[in-house]
Amino acid sequence: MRNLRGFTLIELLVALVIMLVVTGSIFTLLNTTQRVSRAQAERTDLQSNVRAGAIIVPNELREINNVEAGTASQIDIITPNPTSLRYRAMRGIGFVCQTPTAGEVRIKKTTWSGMREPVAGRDAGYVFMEGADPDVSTDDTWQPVTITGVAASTCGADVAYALTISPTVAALTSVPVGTPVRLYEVMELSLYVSDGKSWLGAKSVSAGEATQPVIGPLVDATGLAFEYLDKNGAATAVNGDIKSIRLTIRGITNQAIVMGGSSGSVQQVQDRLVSEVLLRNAFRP
Amino acid sequence: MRASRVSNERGMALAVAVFALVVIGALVAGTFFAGRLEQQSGENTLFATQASEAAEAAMAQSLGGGLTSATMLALVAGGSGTTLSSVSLGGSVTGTPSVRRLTSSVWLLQAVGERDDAGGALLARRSVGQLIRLNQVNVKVNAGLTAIGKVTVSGNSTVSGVDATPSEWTTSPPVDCPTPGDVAGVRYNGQLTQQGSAVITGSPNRQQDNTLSAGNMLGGSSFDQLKAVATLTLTGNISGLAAQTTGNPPVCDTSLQNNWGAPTVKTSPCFNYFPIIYHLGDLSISGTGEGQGILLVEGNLNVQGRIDFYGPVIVTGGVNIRGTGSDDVKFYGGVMAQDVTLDDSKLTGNATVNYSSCAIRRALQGSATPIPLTERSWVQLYN
Repeated sequence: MRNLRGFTLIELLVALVIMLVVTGSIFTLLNTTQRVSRAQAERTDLQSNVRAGAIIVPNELREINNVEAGTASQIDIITPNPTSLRYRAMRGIGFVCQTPTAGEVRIKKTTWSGMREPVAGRDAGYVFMEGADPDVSTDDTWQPVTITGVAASTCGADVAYALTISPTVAALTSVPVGTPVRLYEVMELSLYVSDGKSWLGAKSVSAGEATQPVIGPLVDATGLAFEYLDKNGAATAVNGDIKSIRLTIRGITNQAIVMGGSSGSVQQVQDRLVSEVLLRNAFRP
Repeated sequence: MRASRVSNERGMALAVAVFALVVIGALVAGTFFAGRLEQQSGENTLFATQASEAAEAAMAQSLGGGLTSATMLALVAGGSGTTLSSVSLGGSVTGTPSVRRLTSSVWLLQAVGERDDAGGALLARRSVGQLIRLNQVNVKVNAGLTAIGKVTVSGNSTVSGVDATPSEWTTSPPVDCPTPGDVAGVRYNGQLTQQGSAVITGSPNRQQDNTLSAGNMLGGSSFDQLKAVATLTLTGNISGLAAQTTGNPPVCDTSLQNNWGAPTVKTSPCFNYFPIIYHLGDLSISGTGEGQGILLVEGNLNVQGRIDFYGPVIVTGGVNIRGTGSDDVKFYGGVMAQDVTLDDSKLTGNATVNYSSCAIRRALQGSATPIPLTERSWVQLYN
């Protein structure tokens, strides 16, 4: 029966001390693991953000057309700034499936290749125009058209998009079947601040949208930078001379994380990725 | 009772240890999971990039020589395309180009890049395209016969500026030809002599042009520019022309000096072979046969026999075309001769020079090389 009376005070104290040591060790271990885990997740997010930006932006920009000393319709870079860029973003290509009228172009649906379907008001287009001399390429042009309507239609037995062109373009009536038609919308990429954080923002200027955050957070003020380079790789301020765009994305972790283990400093980590986008349609054959 | 106490102590330690292990394990597993996701995401990006690069490489290879004008011209606008030789970038990364004709002058070169795993399963696919056309020499033929010096047309010869399409090209399937338009029969800046039963027709029949010179006769390119892109340099005179094939399936044997294509045999592999033929010095062509392309002679040209040629003939010296009795020499396209110090241009016997915009166009296009459109040629494709 004496054995059932419990522990002595000494035993309890010893047990408590052991418990404290063990619990403290476990807590420290858990805390460190949790910090490392969170830091890892933050770094992963950071790298994903930066990498996503380095994929999305070049994909948007590489189809840009540019002509040295060209006209406004030949130069797709509209407003280049160090932290923002307004440009014509190509959204798809289709091919004329019946002789157009001055106010309508039909594109066979199965030949359309785009990131989405054509949208009236949002999209505008270019129709290829063979020059007067069909044997040379130097007189070829792309006729800009404004698309005010997109309707389901047909080309014979084939399903087609009927693009309403307004104002009308008389020259379209001479366009042969098979002629390529390219659609675009005017977009703007910028360093966008929301809720006290900076983001890569995008908006469709054509659609009158407000800027939406795409990736982030980015480093304030320097999180997004565009450099515009000419054929020699030198910086240029002439829109038509731009042959490539150097993009710098500086990401930052959403929260401060511990650097270098439990004894390290706590701060937000930054990462940077630079990519140079060659404008595929800025180089003449 | 002692056994019971021992059991209780073991249980507490085990619970604490298990709890700690579970929590730590969950955190570590979460970290590994996040890391694995990040790695896979990175790999996917890499695979997609490899597929894109393979597509770009395939397109570059096609434009760099893999795609010929003959292949392009054999396609029908609006018809199905043809697949070209693929490119392999290290075994599991391949790019496959194809081309289809959109209009009479525009083609779409498309390339699909794929990244497979070791087992052949598809990991990534990207598709890009280029709108292309043919880059041809800039020669403007504005008359059946163009000459700077004296022109003599005699015998039963005919010089015609009436736009003619060879009858073989009008049968099904017809050759794609421009809208006909007549030009002058003879355009000259010198003296024109018409003798015997010779006929000169055109719109007008004869046109004296005092502005005609060696510098502007060809319309755009210079003779030196043309010979710089020659694809068949002759080493001697030609005795007979014959289109020949090699291999199985047969392809046109372009290595032969006397193979200048098969302009009237649509089923021949040489039907769309258009050499730019160059010869330095006087050239004599005799025998029988037919050919096509662009004939450049830096010297005098003598033709005798039953020879038919389809395309522009440009000679820096004099041209002497001589039919012999029942044999005819027929040039469809246009002859341009630059008078120097040698013979004047002569047409005798049953020689015929007939302007043909279709023959000229086929020769110029057929000898051309594919190039991207000057603007908006590169296309991101989504299928």
